[in-house]
Amino acid sequence: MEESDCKRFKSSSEFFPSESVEHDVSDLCGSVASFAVSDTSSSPSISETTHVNPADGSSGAATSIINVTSAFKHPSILRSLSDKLPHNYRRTHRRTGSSQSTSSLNWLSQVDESHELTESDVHPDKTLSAPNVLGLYLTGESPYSASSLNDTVDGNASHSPVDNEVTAGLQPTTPPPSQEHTNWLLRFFQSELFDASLALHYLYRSKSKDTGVQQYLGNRLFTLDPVDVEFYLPQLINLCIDTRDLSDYLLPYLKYRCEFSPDLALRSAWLTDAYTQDGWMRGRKIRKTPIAKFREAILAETYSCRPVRPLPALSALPTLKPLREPEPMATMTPPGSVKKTGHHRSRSDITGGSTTTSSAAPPAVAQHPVKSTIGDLASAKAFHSGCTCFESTVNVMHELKGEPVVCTCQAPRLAPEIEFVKALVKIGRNLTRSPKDGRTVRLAADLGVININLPARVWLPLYCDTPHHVVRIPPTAAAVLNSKDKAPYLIFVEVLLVEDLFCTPVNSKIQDNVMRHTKSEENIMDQSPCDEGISSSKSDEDGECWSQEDDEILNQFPVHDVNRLHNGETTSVWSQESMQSLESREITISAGDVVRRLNESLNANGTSFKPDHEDPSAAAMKEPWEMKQARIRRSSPYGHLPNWRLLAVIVKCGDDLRQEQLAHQMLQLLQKIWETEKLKLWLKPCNILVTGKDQGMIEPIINAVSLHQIKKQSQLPLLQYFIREYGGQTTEEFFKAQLNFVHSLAAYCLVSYLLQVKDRHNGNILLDSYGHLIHIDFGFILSQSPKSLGFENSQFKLTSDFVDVLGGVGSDMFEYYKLEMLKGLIAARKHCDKILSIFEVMQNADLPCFKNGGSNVVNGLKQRLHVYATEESLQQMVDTMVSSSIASITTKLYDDFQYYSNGIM
Amino acid sequence: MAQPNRAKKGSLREKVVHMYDALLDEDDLDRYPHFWDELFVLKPKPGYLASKLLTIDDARLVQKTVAVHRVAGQAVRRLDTQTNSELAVFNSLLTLFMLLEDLTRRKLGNNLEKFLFDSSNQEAFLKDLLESLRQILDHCSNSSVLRLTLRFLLLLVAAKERIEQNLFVSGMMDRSLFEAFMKVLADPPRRKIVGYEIVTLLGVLPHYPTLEPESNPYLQLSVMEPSIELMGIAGVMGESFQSSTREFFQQVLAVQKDNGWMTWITKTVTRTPRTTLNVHLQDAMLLSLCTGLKIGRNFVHAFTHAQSEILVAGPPPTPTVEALDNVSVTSEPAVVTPKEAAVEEPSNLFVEFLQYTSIVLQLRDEKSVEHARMSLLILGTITEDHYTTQFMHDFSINYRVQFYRAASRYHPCQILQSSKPEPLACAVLNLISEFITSHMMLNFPHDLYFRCLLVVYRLMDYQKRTRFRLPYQWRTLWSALLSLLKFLQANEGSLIDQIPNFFLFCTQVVNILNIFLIGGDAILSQVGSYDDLCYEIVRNSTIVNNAFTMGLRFSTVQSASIQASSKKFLTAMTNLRAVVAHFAPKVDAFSLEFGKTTLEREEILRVIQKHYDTLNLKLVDMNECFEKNANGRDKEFMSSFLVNVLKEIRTSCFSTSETFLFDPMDISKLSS
Repeated sequence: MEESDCKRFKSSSEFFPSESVEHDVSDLCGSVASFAVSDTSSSPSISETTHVNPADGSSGAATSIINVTSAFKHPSILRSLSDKLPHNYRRTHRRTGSSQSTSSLNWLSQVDESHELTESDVHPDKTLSAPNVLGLYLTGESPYSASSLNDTVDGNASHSPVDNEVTAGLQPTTPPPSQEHTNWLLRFFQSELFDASLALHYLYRSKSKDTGVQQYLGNRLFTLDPVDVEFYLPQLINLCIDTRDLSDYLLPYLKYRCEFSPDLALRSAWLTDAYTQDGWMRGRKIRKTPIAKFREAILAETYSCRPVRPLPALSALPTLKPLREPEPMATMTPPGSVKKTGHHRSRSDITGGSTTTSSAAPPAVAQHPVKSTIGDLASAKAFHSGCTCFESTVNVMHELKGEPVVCTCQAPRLAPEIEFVKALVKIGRNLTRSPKDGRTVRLAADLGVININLPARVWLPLYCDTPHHVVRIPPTAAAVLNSKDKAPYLIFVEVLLVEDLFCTPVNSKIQDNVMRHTKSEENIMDQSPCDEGISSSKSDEDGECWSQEDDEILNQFPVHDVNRLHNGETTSVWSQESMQSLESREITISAGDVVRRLNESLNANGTSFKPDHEDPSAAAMKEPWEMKQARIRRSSPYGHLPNWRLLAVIVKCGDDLRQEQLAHQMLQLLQKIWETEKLKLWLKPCNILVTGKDQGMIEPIINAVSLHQIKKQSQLPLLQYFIREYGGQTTEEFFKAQLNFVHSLAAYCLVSYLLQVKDRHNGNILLDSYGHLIHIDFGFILSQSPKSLGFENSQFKLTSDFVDVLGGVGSDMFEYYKLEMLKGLIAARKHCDKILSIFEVMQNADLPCFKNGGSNVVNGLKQRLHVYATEESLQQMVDTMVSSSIASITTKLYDDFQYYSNGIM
Repeated sequence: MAQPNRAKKGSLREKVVHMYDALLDEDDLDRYPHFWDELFVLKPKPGYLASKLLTIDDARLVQKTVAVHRVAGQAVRRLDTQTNSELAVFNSLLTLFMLLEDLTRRKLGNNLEKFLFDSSNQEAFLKDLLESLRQILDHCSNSSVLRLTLRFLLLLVAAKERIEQNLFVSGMMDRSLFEAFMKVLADPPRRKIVGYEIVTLLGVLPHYPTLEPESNPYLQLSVMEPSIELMGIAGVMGESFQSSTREFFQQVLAVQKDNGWMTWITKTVTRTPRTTLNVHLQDAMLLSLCTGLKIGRNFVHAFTHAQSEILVAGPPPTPTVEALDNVSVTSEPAVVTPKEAAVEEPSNLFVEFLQYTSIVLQLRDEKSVEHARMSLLILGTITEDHYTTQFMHDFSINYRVQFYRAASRYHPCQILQSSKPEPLACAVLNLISEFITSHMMLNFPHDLYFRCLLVVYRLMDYQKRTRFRLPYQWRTLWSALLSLLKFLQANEGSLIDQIPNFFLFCTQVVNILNIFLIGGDAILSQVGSYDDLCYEIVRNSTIVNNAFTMGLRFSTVQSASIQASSKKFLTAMTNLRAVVAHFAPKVDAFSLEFGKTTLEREEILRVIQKHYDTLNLKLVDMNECFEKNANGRDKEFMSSFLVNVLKEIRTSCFSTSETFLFDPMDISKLSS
């Protein structure tokens, strides 16, 4: 549906000369202003045009343009029109699976038609599709299935290339002269080249000037690639906050998107929160602004419209009623859960006798407390929305029939998730208040409490691409990260992938299968010291559950077994020999051997890092992800489920992540640019979620440790570490790692240069297991350095350690590195508009990096992109930057400073 | 109404007092309209009723049985919260409490129930009573009613000396009080009020013998999941231990303050009586913990769940500035000075339990010895469990455990605390080393020693199997064991009669050292540790030699069992002797060569390091001596402990009735 429209939209503007895109901005704005004035009188005509049947309304080109402009001017009328549509209209619309807005569609079809009216006599079949679409919407029913709709769409799409050629030949490329100036902008907006980045740019530029353009662009967003627009969500939110007028035009789009994506709704709410919490809205009544109302509405769950579908089974409900009595057990265990046999015994089994009374109790009693437990961690149902739909008889029937299960109750959908994130942040806040060496324990304790409330219909917003439910957070796998006074922490979260966040039932709770294991047999023989009653019941279970082999149990806890070596040590000899009687044979061992083995095993600790009290995160990060995942999976009660996954997330509170998010956008953009330019430069943008001004979550970089940790643990220079990890300098492995290193180094050098990333000590630079260098912590970017020390004068950090890995100055690899940098810079320059637009829109926000004047910062960035320099001069510049960075005394100074002040090596 | 008897006291007597008199003295109460309704809304005077009841001796009570039955019946009828006001419920409950208290006080033996209710409608009476109590637990939101209900339940349970004779308890088995208890435990504000009582009940009730074991509802504890309820139980226990410990430590610190140089002199000169340290013993909590561990599969989880602020609404601990030290082996515990003690440490039930145990182990009175035995029994159960043992050895779970060190000849009483958080196994080993060194007395508590050694053995066994290298200062343990050996050897004459199997015990001591000698490569965490071990043995060569001769002496003795066990002991000693025989001459030669009579520690270590290769050690089977150690007397001990706990509960319930006051405040308001 949407696709077809876009295509048609594109096709209709295909014939515009591509040069027309290269407008001067100010020029365009002026033209739009005049254009907005030109047709104020045409507003009444819109109501007619909407009702015109395109099939017979084939009027001339002149009227069509009036139609376009009027539509352009007054989409609000169309919106009001769409409001008059039957109420279930939207729902039907949802059911078709399309994500197109009704109002925009209506309006778009208008625009399209008016354009195509001139072509309609040539290709009648194309215009015919429009009434089809409209008809579908207006009836409110769904006589057309989604597939039939697709058929028509496909039919159109297959025609369109031909159309273009034909129209290009038939149609004069210049519109009527009276409208010429106006149409350049319009055509540009309608052109295929127009994307979210440009929309943003023009939205920003038209700010407080041209309501017409703003309106148009606000509507145009509906037709752009949703993913693309989503990328600019912080910018959009910021525009809404910054310019009240714009929020009138942007919010409809956001509201519309929020209806379909609860995740986007949450992120919008959090972003709004983050950007309005600080003082730059001071003097304005924040509560009254539309964006604040928007946020309120999200939190009140106005937009998270439920997938209400007519239930065919509802009419059959009375007949199903009797079913309820015989199967209370079925309703108690949500479907989809895999019941573990034998060892696991849920409470429901035990209280089986009494369930009859509890299930017979009226549901009102059960529902009453549920409502109030959201957010109450001690209730074990803190993230439970109170929805009982999945346990209802109807849905059990659905499940059995293989039909989709639906939730029909009015339980809140976002509240549990909001509480979940709140709980995680609260843990972080508690951590900062506890003494440093007790933090790990405190973290484990608090996560234990959260665990009791899981599984629930909550997810990690960082990984919203893959819908999942959180089932468990293994408390012992979590680690508090190094930080001076904040306490960010890393958690590993066990999730189950689901088809749909809200339609898949939540897995039922499975307890940790850690059970009593009596190591020696004495107590089993002895029975229990308690009374007969206890011991006899216990012995029953002993037989089946408690007689597991040591090894089997040990497999669940392989933590300390990793270094187990089977090379004939004392213990292994010992255990073998203890089987036989020792009286018969005298086995002697040499004390010298014992000492030697002790020393060997202590020294040969291999590549794994020793657990360190001061830095518990080092060991947690060094363990390869696959191993960790396998280990946690083994010990997890949910590990046997096929859709089990492990995700990692860093929860930060007390740190402003908004700037990190900006840097993340920049990295993503650069990554995309270099990808399209077919460059090998490698970046690792780690996803960032802002949930408030000073809190949020970060996607950790897995399989990577910081240079500081490498140096501290291995006590080797970087090159030697590479050799130790990947083999000698001539090996294939080493070469691969070196190549990875070069690509990432060049990429991050460019990022450092462009963004002027400071605070580049070794704790902020990671090395992953493939040899990629990764920079993290973009807390000081764009004209801002820690405590305004101004140490780091060089453009980027290039230490002799790095150069050594490259093979020294002047080596082939080194030259290659410079070449890659040059290529990367040229590519970035080519797309400088996109890069600039991210920052430009944000420059009024109260971010630390814009403290010294937002426009200066953006201009500085523009300068660093050297838009007007020749490639030769660029090359020269890269050369000088590299050589000055190697020689830079300030880099060394800063490292020393960090070493002495914070102990970072 | 009864006529006011003004002449008697000359003061106005309250109406309720008259009613109490009438209650017991008059047969026909029907002539008073609404007598019962009035009685239970008037402000009760428990003191008067109690003294009134006291005036009635046992013989006269038999005559009054009907009156008592009548009161009890009326009171039970008014326990229903739905039809009666909270005040009426409270008053009737209090009346029942006082009646029962009085009956329990008397030595009525087994027919206590007979006095409270008519045996003909015993079923109905019990049913009504317990059902009402359950209703109160479930729905009542008044804290004073709730508290009184739980106290009353405790009194019911403790009414008889032996739980199996208690009719009330058998009644409790049928009702679903268990679920009600769990509900309360899951609810923090209510748990705060009556958590202790409920956990006590949960410790006692599973011991009631039922015809079919499965029908004991309290056995549901055994399959309890690690949930809010379990964490609630752990929280209650932890808090009780903590309060005892904290109270005790404060006393210790106060004593320490006194122990200045000058005060010490004045004290010794003037012979002022020593300040005695008192600890509030947590019998019931220990029993609950032990019961839970013995029957509960998941109960060990309670240990590992650290106290979370979210559940235990305590004040956030203040951050402390710690000097970073990079010692990889945990340092010797340092003495806590009064100043430091204020810092709130993160803790969990395990930590609290260990701290409490450290106190109990050091107290010498009879009751504390029982406690110590119970604590060690629990510790043994914990180390038996793989999950908790692993938890103890987790590098990421570090605590700073404080433990008490009794005053001795060398030092005043102290609170020791490790300088940085360390795995819990370190704390356990510290605790046991301290116990070993401090309990070598003529009245040798061999049973406790057995248990201690077993715990050490199990920890070693775990470390050996998983190749876990605990960063522990093993020397503490080694020297403790060697001095224990010395003590055993020196006092063999008296000990051999005291300890059932003297040589088996000696063998155990020696075998723990053997584990290090033979399997040290899998356990020790430091390069020099093995040298230290040898050094320690060589240093105590006389102990080793004497012990060996002692073994030799008994190997020729008449008794066959002693002969056999002493031979085993000699086998176990082989390695220690080999070490001594190997190094001692070398050290002597060294001192001769350099003409030194006393050698520095470093010099001896150097000699030891040089001469490892020619030393041969023998593999000894160690499992044997520990497996035989199974203790069949646990069961007896548990039941006697249970009787003691019931006695404690009973005495704690007595004369508390006057402390109950009705407070109309709702719990939800209390918490906010």
